[in-house]
Amino acid sequence: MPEDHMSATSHTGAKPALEYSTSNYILTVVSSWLVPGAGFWMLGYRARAVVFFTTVMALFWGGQALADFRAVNRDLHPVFFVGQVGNGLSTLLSEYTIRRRRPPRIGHGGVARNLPAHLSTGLNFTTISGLLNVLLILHVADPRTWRGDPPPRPGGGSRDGSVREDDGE
Amino acid sequence: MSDLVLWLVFFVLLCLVVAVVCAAIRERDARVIVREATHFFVMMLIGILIFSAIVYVLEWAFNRRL
Repeated sequence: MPEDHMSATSHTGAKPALEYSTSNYILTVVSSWLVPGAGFWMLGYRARAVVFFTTVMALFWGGQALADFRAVNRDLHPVFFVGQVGNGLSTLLSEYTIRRRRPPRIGHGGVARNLPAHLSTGLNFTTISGLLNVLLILHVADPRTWRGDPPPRPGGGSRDGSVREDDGE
Repeated sequence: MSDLVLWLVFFVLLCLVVAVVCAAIRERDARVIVREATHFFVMMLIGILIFSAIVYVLEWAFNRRL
């Protein structure tokens, strides 16, 4: 298992706990999409996984609560849904279960009535949490994460001043 | 709680979460994560407030009631 980077002080990279294979790669990326931080957990970066899960989920469900659980709605907010769907399971759960129990309040003439006071904030929170999870997915899908490379520095060097041989290629 | 205070709380909270996640994705050392997150958080606050001020001034200049 790699060192726990959140509590470690080492600046060197560490190999992930999971060996690379096509099935492991696909499973990790899909898990990362479904549950924020799951990919990091599977790779052995447990502390960071907990931080990502907590922050992204709190943002999403906090936004949902602010919007009276009406923030996710593919028909009413199709553009926001594109961002929200980055959150995988939470968005699908909201779209296909919670939403059906909370139909939109449509008044006379097709105009939505009695919208939640913080609907726009809820849309904002849920969409940004989905986009943040896309960042997490991209990081898990990055081959450098699987190699355990140290974070790249501006100019191609690592934090300890060394320059990788393949950085200039 | 007034709308302005609530809006500011939401704004700061959102900036904080984005800063923490973005820093924790890139960095691995906890101290570096805290430092980078703080830096990014302050940059976002200042940047968005400057942008908001510019929009406010433009609105005041071109869209005020004469």
